[in-house]
Amino acid sequence: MSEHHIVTPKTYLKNLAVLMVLMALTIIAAKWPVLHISQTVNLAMALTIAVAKMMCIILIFMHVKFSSRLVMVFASAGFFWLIILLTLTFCDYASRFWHSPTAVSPYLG
Amino acid sequence: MSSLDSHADNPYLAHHFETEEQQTESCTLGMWLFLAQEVMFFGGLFLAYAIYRSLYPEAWSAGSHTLDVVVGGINTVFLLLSSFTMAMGVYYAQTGKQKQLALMLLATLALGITFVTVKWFFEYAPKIEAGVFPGKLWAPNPANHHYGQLAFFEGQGLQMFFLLYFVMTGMHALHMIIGFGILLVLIVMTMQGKFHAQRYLPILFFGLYWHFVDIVWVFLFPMFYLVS
Repeated sequence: MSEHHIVTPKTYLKNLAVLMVLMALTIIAAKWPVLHISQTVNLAMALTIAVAKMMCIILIFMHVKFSSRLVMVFASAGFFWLIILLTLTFCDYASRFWHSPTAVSPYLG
Repeated sequence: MSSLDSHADNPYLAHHFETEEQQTESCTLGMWLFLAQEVMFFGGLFLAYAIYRSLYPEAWSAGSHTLDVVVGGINTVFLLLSSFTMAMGVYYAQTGKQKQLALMLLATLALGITFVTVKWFFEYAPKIEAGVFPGKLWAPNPANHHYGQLAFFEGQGLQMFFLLYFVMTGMHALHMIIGFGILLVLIVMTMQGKFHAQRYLPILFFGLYWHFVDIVWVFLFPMFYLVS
């Protein structure tokens, strides 16, 4: 087990600082009226910041940056499945009313 | 016989592994497989959230405005700090500093309990009292200065917003409460001197679980508290 990479407290502390800044950013992006562009843009901003925070936690706190390729594949697998789940389901919801010339889809605005 | 001899040298190497690296790698993969299952579990809930949000955007906006960003934000800070103390715990476990490890695990437990306590007293309890709880109990009290506006909301899907709010944040809180139990066991084991530089994988893997729970909150916070 001595082979396992030891991440230093300094790296952890820097990571915590980045996470705190990103958390402040996500609140500013949502609550500062100047940045209210549109629902879609604001949702995209919120999700981008959340993904950035997730990457900080996974790569540093969870040591994936210092792990083997195989661990990286295992760590990505669940999230890859999640992308398939969301994409296919929303393709279904978005296309449900395509066959009807008059009906307007209640989904996706 | 040579492989048996190498096991005799190292009491922390299980008999079915050849080397320490193999043992660490195998256990790490197993833990990530468990976490992939957790991603799939929460993934279903996130999908339900995405569908109903696209169906009822007005309800999402109205519901979100009654959630307290300050309380949610302070709780986010507690959770990020607890992830940091947990990561430091892993460092002290790897370097064999048992006293510091126990302190870091205690700090993680304290921050986690603070999160759940704040959640109950400042979020769940006032909502249930004001009738903002989906199902049979749903009856927003118009006299309530904070949640009263919901009684006049005409649109659909408001109960769905609060159903997903209680289920998703509730499942997150349940994961934390399970974590408290494991943390208590790990703290007792640390004080018995069971973890050191040659044996720290249980700390490392509990850390992975704890950080995963943190990631779930990283998404829940903007998705519920910050809907424009």
